Amino acid sequence: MTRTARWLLPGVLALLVGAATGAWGQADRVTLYTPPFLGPGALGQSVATIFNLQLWETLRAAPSPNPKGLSFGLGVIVWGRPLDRYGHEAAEDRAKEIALLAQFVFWGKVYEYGDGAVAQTNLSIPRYWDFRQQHPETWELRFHLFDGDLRFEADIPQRRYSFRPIVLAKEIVSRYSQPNALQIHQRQNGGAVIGSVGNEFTRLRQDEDMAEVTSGGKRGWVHLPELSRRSEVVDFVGGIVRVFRGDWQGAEELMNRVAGNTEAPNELRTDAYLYAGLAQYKQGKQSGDSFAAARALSPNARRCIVYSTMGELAEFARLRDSRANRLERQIPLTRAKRFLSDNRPLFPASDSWVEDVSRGIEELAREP
Amino acid sequence: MGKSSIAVAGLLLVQFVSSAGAASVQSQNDPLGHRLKLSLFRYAGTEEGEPKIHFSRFKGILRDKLTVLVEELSGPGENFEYLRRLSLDPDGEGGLEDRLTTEDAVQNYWAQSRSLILFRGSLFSEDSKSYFAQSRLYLGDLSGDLPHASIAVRLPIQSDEFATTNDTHSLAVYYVLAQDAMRMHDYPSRVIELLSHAQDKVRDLKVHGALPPALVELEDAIERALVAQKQLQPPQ
Repeated sequence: MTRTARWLLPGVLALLVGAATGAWGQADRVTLYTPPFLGPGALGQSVATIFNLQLWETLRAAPSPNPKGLSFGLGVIVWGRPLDRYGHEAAEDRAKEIALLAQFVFWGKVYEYGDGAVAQTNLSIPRYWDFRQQHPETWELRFHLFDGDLRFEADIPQRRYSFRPIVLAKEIVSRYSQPNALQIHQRQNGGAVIGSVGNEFTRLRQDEDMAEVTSGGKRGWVHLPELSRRSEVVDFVGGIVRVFRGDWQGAEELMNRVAGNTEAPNELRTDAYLYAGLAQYKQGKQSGDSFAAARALSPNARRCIVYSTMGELAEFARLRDSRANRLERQIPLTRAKRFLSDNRPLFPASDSWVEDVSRGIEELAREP
Repeated sequence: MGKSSIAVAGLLLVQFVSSAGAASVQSQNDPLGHRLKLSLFRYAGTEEGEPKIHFSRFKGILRDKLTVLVEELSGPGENFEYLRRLSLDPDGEGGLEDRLTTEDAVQNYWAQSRSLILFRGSLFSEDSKSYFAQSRLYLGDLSGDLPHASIAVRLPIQSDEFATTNDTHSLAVYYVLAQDAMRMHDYPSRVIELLSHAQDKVRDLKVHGALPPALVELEDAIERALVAQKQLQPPQ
């Protein structure tokens, strides 16, 4: 018999009980959908295209070097028609379309404001049955006890994000407000303009701020300007995509960049630390410092307590596997119990995850 | 909340599905329920020309921000389903005509319209090129521990100040939503969640410089409310 304590983001009843097969992501496709942004003139479309190509840069099929022969499966970014309306729900409806089945929608709007323009970007990560065989993003810990299995699960920290607005440089606004502003050059170092990036394009490769694309039957190079000073948005979205693909080393790298960016929003830095901690655990590293950093930023956020508790249970599992003595094994369990009791007011009175995990901890603590 | 049992491939899994979305708490003091209207008055000085365009854009941005804020709090089965009825008044273009000339008139309007918050203010320019918004966010009886019922902030209408403007208004909305939840004796966990979002915004604003005095007071009020909420027993 298996007892499961599962922390899901509220409102969720999707069941993730598919049998594990193969290596992470080997057969699964992870899709990020990026519709053109709403906004004045062609600016929304141009800005979304630039983001799209910048996000491509964060995808990778395997680490480099790759001594373990890892593969992260197929990661794709799909470009499509604008959302029907501004909001997460519209984005999630689009993601679930059977022809798309996207795990993420990166969407936004460009506003004229004051003397310039700003891009407001958002990320929606709907939960639904998307036919993937593997769900690396779900943190699962399983303990074999004499009378059955004990399983603890935690969902990702949040599924709806709105990012810090990006101020678009004046040069960007004036240049990319025109249709066909993203010009395709014959050569990587410039050369003749042979076309422009249209509604459909395929990105072939990236070399710093130049992307090789095909669009409208033309193949050439597009310059990707810095939309503004360095933003955490691309790193964070790219990092979550890597989590969903089980690219833990890559996820840790991008999430650490966000976490270390003191100008990034508090909420985002918090979640970046949580993801970094998860990625560290998946690589067999210590993750306690990352979770402590997340709690320091957002001491009243439930998700920090859930991940911190899972981190202690993971540490217990490591000690248990290494046959550490009982006294040593009790330390992370005691810390986990304290996280839950000290932060009980953060959870609804009826929250079964807290009760189930507390009971599970008691069971583990009774082990000889 | 509940336990459900499912059989999968011969393995009995007893699911304990976390259900943060507990049954909604009914009003104990106010039979009309939560306050869910944000009233936007036309800012003084925005009757025509460029200031009118600025105000119109501001309203559009505020509306989009509220849409996203509500969706982030009230996802399927979330804690804050009631927030789906949150609205920005008036619909469409423009703002309410501001004929409130005394503090009593403002308080009466806030009370009788059942507003959550009133957005009032003026738009002005010192050099007829760049504009500033002087916003007065009126929280009425939902000001909690704040020394005043209004929060006054001066915000430049510039693209590089957009985030600060956004964060300031979001902060006020999270705070007043938390105060309204407290008034309705909602679960402490709900109030804490709203206050935690408000705290995020305070921290984001601090990254860009020292907080103005009104927001320092707000920060202190949030801290005190958090301490108090953590000591409450949740309603059964």
